[in-house]
Amino acid sequence: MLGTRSMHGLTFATRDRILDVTSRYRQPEALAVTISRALDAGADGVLASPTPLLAAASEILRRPVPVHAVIPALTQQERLELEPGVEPLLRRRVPRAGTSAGVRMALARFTRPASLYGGDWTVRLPVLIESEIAAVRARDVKGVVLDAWLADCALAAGNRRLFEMFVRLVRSRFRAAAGIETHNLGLMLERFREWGVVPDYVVAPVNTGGLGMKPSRSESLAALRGATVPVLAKELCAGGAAFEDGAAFAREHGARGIVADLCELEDAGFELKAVG
Amino acid sequence: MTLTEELLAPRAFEPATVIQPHRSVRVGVFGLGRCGLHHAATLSTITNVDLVAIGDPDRAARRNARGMGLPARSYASAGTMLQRATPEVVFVATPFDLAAGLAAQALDAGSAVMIEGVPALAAADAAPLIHAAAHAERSIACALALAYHPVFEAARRIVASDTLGVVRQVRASRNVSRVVTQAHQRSYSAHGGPRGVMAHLGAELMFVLVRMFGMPGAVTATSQRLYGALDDEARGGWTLAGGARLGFETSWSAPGYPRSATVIEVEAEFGRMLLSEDAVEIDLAVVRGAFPAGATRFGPASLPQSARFELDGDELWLQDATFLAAVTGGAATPTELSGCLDSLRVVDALYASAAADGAAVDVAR
Repeated sequence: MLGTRSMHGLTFATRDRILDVTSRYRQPEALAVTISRALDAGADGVLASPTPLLAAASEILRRPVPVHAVIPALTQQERLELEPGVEPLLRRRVPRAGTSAGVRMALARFTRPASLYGGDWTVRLPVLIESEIAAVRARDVKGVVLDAWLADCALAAGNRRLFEMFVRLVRSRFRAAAGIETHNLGLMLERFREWGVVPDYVVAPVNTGGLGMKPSRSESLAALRGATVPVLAKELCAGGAAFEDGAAFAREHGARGIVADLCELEDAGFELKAVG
Repeated sequence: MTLTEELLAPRAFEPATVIQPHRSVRVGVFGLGRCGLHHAATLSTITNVDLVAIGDPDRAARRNARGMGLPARSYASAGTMLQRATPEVVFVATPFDLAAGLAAQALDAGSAVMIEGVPALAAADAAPLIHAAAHAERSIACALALAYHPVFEAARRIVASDTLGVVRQVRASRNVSRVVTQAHQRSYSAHGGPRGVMAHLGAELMFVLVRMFGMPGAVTATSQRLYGALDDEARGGWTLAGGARLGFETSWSAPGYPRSATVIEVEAEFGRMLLSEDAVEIDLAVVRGAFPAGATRFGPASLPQSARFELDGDELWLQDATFLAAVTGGAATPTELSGCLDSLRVVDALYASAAADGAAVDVAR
């Protein structure tokens, strides 16, 4: 998949590289071109947060853009300043949605009111998901991925119910793949095995430098080898590896797929084709 | 193993020792905003930690923390939490105007304390806490994440090893885009804080600089207020013991820095060092120890990665685990409050200089 996580500050790339990418993709046309090249090169979709920029790029393309929507969609500022939770996110702007999406959002809020369930991540997460997914064309949603910003806190707290509910909801409500993003791959896979939680995939850093591979590089690679859940490797170039080498490393160690971020690609079409 | 062997040898991907408490330890967290929740989550992943209590006066904050999945019992008051849960260690993560009082309360109850928001304290406010900790025979440490950043720790050791030789000039900066409206600044002044960027952002930089280059005798500083009564930008400096000049600037209103960015440039007798969160690069004119002439670069991937859980970087886990290891019999943490007093005194002097239009002010000892 093509990834856009670097545009939300979630990357091990240097600050200069992040600024370069952010500047390059300030306009939707540039993002649309890269998405189109990635899809032509065989990418299965785009791992991206539902943002106005993504929506505008999808509009430009006039072709189906399979989106694996990472929710919640957070700006870099929000990621660094908001307290983790569902309520702080729901208090943000209410996205404009079409009639049917608006009805679903209202129903979700009505059946899971803040007055009764405020603060309960598991009960209120469906309200957040409806709110966030409203920004993506329904036909484009192929996957819904829980952002590491929430997932890793829930993982640390041992919140099994949250992950069970998320997987069940995404599959039944959106008929889409349920993914979990994490920077703690070894621990996440271990807990999923213990809990019997089986999302459709986990997205996590897998790179030669071991960056973002917790609790340790060796434990994460061991967990990856024995994983019963497909793992999509991201942050392939973290630590300075070339993109092709990073992709090869991830696949050799058991990753089922790769997420190539904008900040790791100079020519999306060429490089994605090269790694097949 | 020498410093150079450790830094230049093919990196062992596994750290030699795991940082963890040396025995089971009961821990509480009071203050369940972003910092407190991150501490609670991180503590839940450290071996031998029993998170027995969380607390916040705000009911919504307590519900959010329980909703995250934390199994610990929650309390509305710190006093009740200390009395009923009897934590051995308390992480105080309240707004900074409440932190010192709560820390004192926890020390009085016999708990060791890790306190967020220390940079906002004047040295005179920190001193009573140090005395209280000594009287209670308990540790009190500050949350200063930059001190635990692997790249900055590596740089500190390079400087301490005299690889660069005599330091001739230091330029440092620390910026973040946090206060860009009057409302943003009011969120700081609303909590009673009279200090702005030099305290909240600059104090961590001062801690790193003092640790690397020593205490100054006198400092100068000027500041600019852009969005209210608090300082939003500041610059200043001092002369190091050997006569070299150290200059810094800091801003919490600089555009383009959603995450705080620290840069330190050192020019020295045998070369230069450039340090940021991305990497430390040294460029030597001659071979020094096992460092070759020319450029050598250490990024996070080439340094030991000892944190076993990541939540917005490795530093929080390293900080919390190191403190708990210290409390349970290990080596003292580098951010013991007594060890941070020097940098707080530097910040005090910088404010005094800024209030005197940049006149040199002696740093209290």
